Amino acid sequence: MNERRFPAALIFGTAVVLLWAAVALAAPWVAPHDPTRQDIGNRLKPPSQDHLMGTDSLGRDTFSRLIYGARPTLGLVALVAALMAPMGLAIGIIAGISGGWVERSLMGATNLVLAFPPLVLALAFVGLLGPGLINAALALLLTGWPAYARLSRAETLILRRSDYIAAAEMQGITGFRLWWGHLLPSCLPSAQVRLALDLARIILAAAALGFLGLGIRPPTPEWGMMIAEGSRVVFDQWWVAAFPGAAICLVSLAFNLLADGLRDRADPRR
Amino acid sequence: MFVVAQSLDDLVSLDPAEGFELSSLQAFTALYQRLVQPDRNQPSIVRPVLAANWTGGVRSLTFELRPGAIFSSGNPLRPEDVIFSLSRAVRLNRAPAFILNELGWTADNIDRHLLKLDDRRVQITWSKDLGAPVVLNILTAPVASIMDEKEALAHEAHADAGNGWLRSHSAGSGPFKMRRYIPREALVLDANVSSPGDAPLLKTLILKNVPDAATRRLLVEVGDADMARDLGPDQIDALGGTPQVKLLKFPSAVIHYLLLNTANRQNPALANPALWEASRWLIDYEGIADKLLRGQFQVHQAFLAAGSPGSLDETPYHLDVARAKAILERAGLGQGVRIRLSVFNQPPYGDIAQSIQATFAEGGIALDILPAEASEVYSQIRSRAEEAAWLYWVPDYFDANSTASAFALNLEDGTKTLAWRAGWQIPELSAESRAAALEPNAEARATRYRAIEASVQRSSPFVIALQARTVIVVRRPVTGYFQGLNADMAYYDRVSK
Amino acid sequence: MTLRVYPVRLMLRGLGTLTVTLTALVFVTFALSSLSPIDPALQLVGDHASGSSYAQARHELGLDVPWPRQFARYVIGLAHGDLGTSRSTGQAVREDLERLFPATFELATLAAIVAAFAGIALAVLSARRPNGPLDSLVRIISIVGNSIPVFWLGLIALLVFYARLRWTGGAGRLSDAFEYTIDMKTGLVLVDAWRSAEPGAFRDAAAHLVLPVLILAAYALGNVTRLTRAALLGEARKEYVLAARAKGASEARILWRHVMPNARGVILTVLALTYGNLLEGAVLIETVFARPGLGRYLTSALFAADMPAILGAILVIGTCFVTINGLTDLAVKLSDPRTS
Repeated sequence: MNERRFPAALIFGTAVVLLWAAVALAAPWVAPHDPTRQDIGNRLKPPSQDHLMGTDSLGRDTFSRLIYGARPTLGLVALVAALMAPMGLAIGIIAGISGGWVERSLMGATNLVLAFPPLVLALAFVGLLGPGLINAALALLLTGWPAYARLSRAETLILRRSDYIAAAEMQGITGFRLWWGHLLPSCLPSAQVRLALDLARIILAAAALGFLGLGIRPPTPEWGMMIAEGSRVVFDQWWVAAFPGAAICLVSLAFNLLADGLRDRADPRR
Repeated sequence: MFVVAQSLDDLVSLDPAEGFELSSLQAFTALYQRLVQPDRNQPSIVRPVLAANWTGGVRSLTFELRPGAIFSSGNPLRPEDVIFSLSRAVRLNRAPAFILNELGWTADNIDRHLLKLDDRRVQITWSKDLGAPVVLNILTAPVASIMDEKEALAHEAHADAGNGWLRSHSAGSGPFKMRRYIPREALVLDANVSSPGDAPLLKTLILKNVPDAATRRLLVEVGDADMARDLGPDQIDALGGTPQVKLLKFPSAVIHYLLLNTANRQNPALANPALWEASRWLIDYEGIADKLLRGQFQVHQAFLAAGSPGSLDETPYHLDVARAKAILERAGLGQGVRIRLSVFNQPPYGDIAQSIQATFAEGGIALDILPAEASEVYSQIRSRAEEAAWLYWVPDYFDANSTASAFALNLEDGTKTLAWRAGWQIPELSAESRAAALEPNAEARATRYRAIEASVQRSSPFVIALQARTVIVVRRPVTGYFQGLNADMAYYDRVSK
Repeated sequence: MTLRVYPVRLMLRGLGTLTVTLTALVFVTFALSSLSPIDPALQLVGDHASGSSYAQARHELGLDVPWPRQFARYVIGLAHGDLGTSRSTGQAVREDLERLFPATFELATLAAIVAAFAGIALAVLSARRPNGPLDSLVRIISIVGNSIPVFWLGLIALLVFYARLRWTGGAGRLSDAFEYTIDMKTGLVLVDAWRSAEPGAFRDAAAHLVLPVLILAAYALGNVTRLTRAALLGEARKEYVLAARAKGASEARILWRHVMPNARGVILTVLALTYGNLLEGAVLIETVFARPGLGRYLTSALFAADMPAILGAILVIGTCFVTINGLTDLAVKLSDPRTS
């Protein structure tokens, strides 16, 4: 196996993700223009020195909107990541430890949610409850946790009977400390990979929701919505839709690379 | 074959008693005829169509039907068809029924108001206080389309007066008849050569559903479509130099306005007339009409659209931030006023809202834009939950009374006019509106309405800002298309290419 | 457990899962709709309608009862095969779905076939020489493929290949010359165009399918390639392969006679997953390419709060999803010689 490539993917992926987060957080200092300032006389201009990525249909600077647009995406990703994985992992561990009807019903619920087509369900959720960051995050969260539950339950079942856990229990470590300190860490490597992949998928799903008009409210820039706005003029002013799309690709790609790199590092056959 | 690229996504029903969306209303003009219809070039004049002539009485009109008129099915026009069409519209009580309710018609009394006098004459009476001119105008509305009773009842199911079948079929006498309707995809119409209004020049008319404006523009540019409707100003600009297409511009009766809900308890600033006045000076009328929505709108600041009888064409307001700020300061509203503005989540409302947001911000008022589905916005307005909204108004029937009784009538008897929805108390103005509806003389009516419009323009919680223009793109060889002031007046019968 | 009874039990269990899942889907959708701010009756009659029209509409739409009762009514209707009437097309939902499902099915299936062939081929080629240049290229392609928003790709492709180059057909399924003259018996545009024997119709239909199918396939390709390659490599490391190689078998023989059959289970699962993903991708692609289908039907229905249509579309998509997964599970279990 070529040792050199994997660190490359990991490094590149991590670098881009960190850069993106940094840019999003530092947006007010990095963006050259106010992303909501309209200049109707200057609308739909191609890229130039003053407007590196041109202007949109209200004369707003696309480059600045792109930078600020990183924020809702970052917010969404952080929100979902912070809740989805812990929730799923916890449910799986509880199921694995409890056994009996608790396990059966939790796993039943997990399988049920897994059987739903995720994007369609997210669409229905946001479509019926109304657009917005919270609703979109909630929708993606509720369709994403089962994978983690399955993962952690499988790990828990294997470890439950192992000597490793038996030894810990003999030392008097039980309950929460047991699974925080012992069960959870063994789930983490696969969970990490899964999470990175999911984040890539979530960015795309959030963009899709934004594209369909179910995303964040204006005038807050958001990449998916920018693509939708740009699609109205794509045949002549291609840049309005092209740049946000490229940004989504880049960040999603970074997460995919990150996932790839993490997976290869976690691969026990190395 | 003539292909029109437009959005048909709003179309729910092609039964004239039920359909009330723009696409269906325009289809009714092609598929059906009414007793009387507005003259194309002078819409204030009402012309006989399925009626040959009429005589008036006290709250009554007697129509003599046009001899030799037949429906697309071959059945001749009889007074029974008129009675059937009008009474079923009232009884079915769907979305457009309220227009006929203006005459005082209800499901209980409709039979008494429609009388067959003999084989050629039918008498129509009404109970409300309205003059004959208003009633004739109401009868030009698409809901009053006359349909073939025998044909409709032949397809009746579950006593629905043919409603289920008519949703996707036609039984009229208009210049076209329906060949096929594929929901959300297309409406295919064939020429109805026996139409009393003369056969159309086209053999086949296809209204094709293309929801995306950029695609519509592409289709007409490359020739896959002969006509494209509802292109945004950017698409039209992009077509600018293309020699294969030309632009048709028609004045439209759609007006856009800002509504401030003075009845909203949570935001007391809204009830302050100073805020209303300041708002009038905080909209960049020319910027929006000329630069943002280039050519698709003109500035108009009264509730009767320019080109309608009785319209007030003065536009005293323009963007004046300093003046607005002074007004707000004097009223103690200089700081911290925050308003939530509901808008439809489609173009051009988003752009208009963002422009207003910017200019209001300069005046010291913070606007939070809440885009939502049309029905959600209307829902809020019905329950008076919104703070402010940017809306458009389309007259329900082609008479000043339709609009005046929305903006300038608040009877406190629960009738939910626009003025009521905005919480605007206007006992005197309401009385004037009602008097204007009774006025028999056209000139005098126009004068009365102008006075009412001036009041609304200067002292209401409505800021009327724009009047739309219908801009349609057609391929160069196309001739003969005409679009009237009212949205439903789309005339395809003289089109050829 | 004899071979004959096992699949029957599996199928029954599968049916059970299907029913439970679909019931839950419908239940959740009803619950969500009770939280929805959209008023469908108002949507239907419009803002200017009279109070009595509005009240009548509410009653006719069944909105004047609490949502659990609406749910019960709907389920009972379902049992009779009645899916209600769409509020935004005015037609029976069942007719709408019968008309539109073949279109989405056609798109997703063609894309799945392309993705399957291309994906497996690429995976095989790259697995033969792991970490070689081709393998690296394929890995890059598949990662990139997973990162592109499919609707954006569709938009750009439409711009380049239709608007600029005019190589392919544009929006819709057929040009207008054919659209209204072909009788759509099966709803599958390629089949109907062929059967209509109109000159040029089949070519036209194909020209309109090229872009959407290729884009959807590209969307799925990434996953298929990556997972198939991983499965192949996983099998290739096993001892029986080493043994076969030691015995002198050629790489090709090892691949086709040993590795692929054993990786079959994973590959089938991957393909099933892909098909499911494609159904979802079709939702976005149909919007971009203005093709009629379930995806567009669902999104329009969501914007119009058209509950019967939303439920109908979700039921169909959900059923497909669960059925595909179930059938795949069945196929995997049946084809695995270890389970009989």
